[in-house]
Amino acid sequence: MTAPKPLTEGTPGSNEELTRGAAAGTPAVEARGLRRTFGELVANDDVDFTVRPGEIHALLGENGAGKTTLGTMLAGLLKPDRGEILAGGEPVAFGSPRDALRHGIGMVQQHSVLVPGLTVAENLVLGTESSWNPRLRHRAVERWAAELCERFGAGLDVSAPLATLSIDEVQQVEILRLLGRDVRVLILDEPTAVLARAHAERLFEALRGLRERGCSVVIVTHKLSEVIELADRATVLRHGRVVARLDRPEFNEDALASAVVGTELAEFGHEPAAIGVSEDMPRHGGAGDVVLAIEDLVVDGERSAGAVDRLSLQVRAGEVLGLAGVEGNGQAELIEALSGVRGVSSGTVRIGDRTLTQLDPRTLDRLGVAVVSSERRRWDVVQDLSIEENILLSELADPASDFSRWGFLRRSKMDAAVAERIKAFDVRPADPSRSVATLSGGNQQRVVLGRELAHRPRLLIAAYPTHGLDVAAVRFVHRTLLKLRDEATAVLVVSADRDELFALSDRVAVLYRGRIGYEAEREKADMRQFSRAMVGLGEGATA
Amino acid sequence: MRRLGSLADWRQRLDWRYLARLLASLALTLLLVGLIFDLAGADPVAAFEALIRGSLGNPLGVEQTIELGAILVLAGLAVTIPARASLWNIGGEGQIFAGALAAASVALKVTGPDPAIVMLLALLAGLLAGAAVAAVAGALRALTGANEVLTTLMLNFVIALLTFYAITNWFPAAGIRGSTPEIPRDVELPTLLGGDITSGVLLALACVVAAHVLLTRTRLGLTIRAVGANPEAARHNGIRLGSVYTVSFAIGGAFAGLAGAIVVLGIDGLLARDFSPGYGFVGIAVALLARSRPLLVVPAAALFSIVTVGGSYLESAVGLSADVALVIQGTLLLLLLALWVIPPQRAAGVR
Repeated sequence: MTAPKPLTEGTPGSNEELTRGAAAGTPAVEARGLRRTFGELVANDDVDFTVRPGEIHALLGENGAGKTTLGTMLAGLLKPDRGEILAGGEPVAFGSPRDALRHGIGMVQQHSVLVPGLTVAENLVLGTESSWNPRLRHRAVERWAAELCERFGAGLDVSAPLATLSIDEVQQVEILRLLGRDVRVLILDEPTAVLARAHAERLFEALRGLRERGCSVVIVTHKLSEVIELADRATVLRHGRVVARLDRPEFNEDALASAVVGTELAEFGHEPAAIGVSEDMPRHGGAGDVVLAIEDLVVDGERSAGAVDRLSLQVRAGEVLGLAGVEGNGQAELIEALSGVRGVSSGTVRIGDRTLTQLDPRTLDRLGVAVVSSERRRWDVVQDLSIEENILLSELADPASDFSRWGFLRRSKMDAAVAERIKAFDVRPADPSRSVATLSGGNQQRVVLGRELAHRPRLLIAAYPTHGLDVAAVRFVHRTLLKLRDEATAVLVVSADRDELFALSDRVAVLYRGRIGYEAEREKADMRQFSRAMVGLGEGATA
Repeated sequence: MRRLGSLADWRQRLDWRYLARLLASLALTLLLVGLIFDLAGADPVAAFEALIRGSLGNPLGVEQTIELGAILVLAGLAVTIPARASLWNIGGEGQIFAGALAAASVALKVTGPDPAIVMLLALLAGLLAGAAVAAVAGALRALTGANEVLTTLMLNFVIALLTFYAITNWFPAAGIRGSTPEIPRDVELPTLLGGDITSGVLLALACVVAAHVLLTRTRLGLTIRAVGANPEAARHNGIRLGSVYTVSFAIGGAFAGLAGAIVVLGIDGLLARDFSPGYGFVGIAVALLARSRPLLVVPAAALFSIVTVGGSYLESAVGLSADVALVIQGTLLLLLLALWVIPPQRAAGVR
């Protein structure tokens, strides 16, 4: 309840604090009917969630299912739009993480919140009221920190600067920081994402130890193996709603996999009209020549070598290949490599009859490759430039383009082209001089499409092309992609939304750990195998 | 049609709140400076009067204000162009030194051609020297990722010391004066309308127009703005960041180099060790105040020039130390930055 008084008492935390909520089956924390939206996106809707004292509870779901949103609301980092949270049976309203900590709820986020320049001990004490104590003594802080470490069995040198610690040790400090504040519900967001296998084992061991002490642990994850190995209960989210609650006896990979991704096509609301693909649109008869051929491609990620790991795939003219997969399986690196902003370690990419071992944006542009990247605001639009400048950006960047002569912009030529594109892609408001920052996400995406598709590309690579868009914009994007395909463009779509992939694609493939884990014609796809491949249970079968 | 703009368009662009904020911050500055005058023991009204009379109220003051303003305009542009690519040019001072040294060397050592040609060559040499020094920092950033704030700052010392060395070793006549011999009159920049004001002022104004056109009407300007606003998206669209870094620095440095050349060829008539009272650094303040808009660099530079020139009259007029002028400059900069320049930028960042 109170901030630690370690410097006077010398004992970090207390067992009473940890077990207090355990009485009479009162949930340690409970959420009722939580809803949270981000603009047009409903991240959580009508979510009921209960954590019992002394259990390890897995919060499971695909990326974008709303797990992290739920966790951050419980930890006071985000306010729900609707619904209530109960801590130890009492309704609470958290205005900040500090409020949540006061009720014994703390979260370890995916990105470290510690200060690299301070020592372990200083980080542990940071933010507690005692750090304002003018009589704060370095030695007392270290003694307290050392006791905290010892108490929870962490073998850390508390006087070492945080920057000298390995990634798993930093994570231990994150957890200890919360334990030092008497947290009895510990929420961990994808804690093993950054850990090596052996370190993950050790983390699990530590979490089991906390459970013994009566602490509750919520582990946010998309990995089935972790749930099976560690959790007592699991709550599964899909599209922001709770779709399943499972107890340990019910755990097996098939049950979990089908809960996470679903197996029934009907369950996706797989009516083409629902996502803007109308029945009268001709399904393409047959695919043409291979336009994109990737062979044994290896791309390194920021933290991991081989994020894309000897991947091979082909896309033909006039077909849509839909690439599914849980985020973090190499999609980002693949897209960045294919758009020429991330280096290729080995392997080749053939576009038409040009075989490339290194790609750069301008060459790709000249080869007729269009890219709609995964993060519009980061990679695709320049917020402070106008619609006009954005919609022509890649062409203006090319000295050989028609829109400039002797280095000067040719306004009349630009105006004509821009007016045409704004009309064709229905950008609103249709004012070329308006800054892109003032447009809605859907209209920004129309600007991106207007730029990338202006010259009927030979190959379109579209990553999460409808992410965060409203229904009308989604429909527009889908129609645009299918129209391009019918005009013989090869289209590679990466999406986390399987409804979308199945509605758009002629072939579907699953990316798992940087490789194709499953691939099939859309009509012949086996949903069970597809789902299993998403979570790494595939037999590597290719139908 | 579009460039004429509708009424709504204009309203959006002018944004009265910006204007109101500017006026309010200017008013507050006046108030605070008046208070400083008062605290320093002078009558505020008389002090303001002296400030204006000293800078704009007599022929010599006007000449000094205009000439200093021209140098500050160029020093401001030197910071402005890289700033639009999100780069800090802290090296304006060194680039001005490089321009001054190159211009003085050509003016004094090249004797063959017609004096007018020598003058043009000297200007060109100053411009290129500034560009070359700045481009080093840009290229280092492009190739090694070296922080341009540090490299430009360090280069200031290198170039200043090189200039000191050159003055005493290349021009033996320098002697104890610490300056080169005087540049022949017919190599100096002509004055305007037979008066005393150097035609370098026109060059500075031409540079303002050139910078404005560069940023708004050229392909290069667009790439600079794109890189400044979102380097990742720029790269994604085929813009080469490294060349934009190098070129934007070179352009900024060219403006600074030209400033140095104009001081030597148009104002001082020689190159002295202490020719610059820190033009390059005031240029940073000017660019900040102008919010990196070339056209706004002119009023920003004028403001600093008036305060500096007028400030030197405070001592004789109302008995205030000339240092008070520095205090005024600092107050001006702080208040305008805090009230006018930074808030809109922060608002933009939040969005």
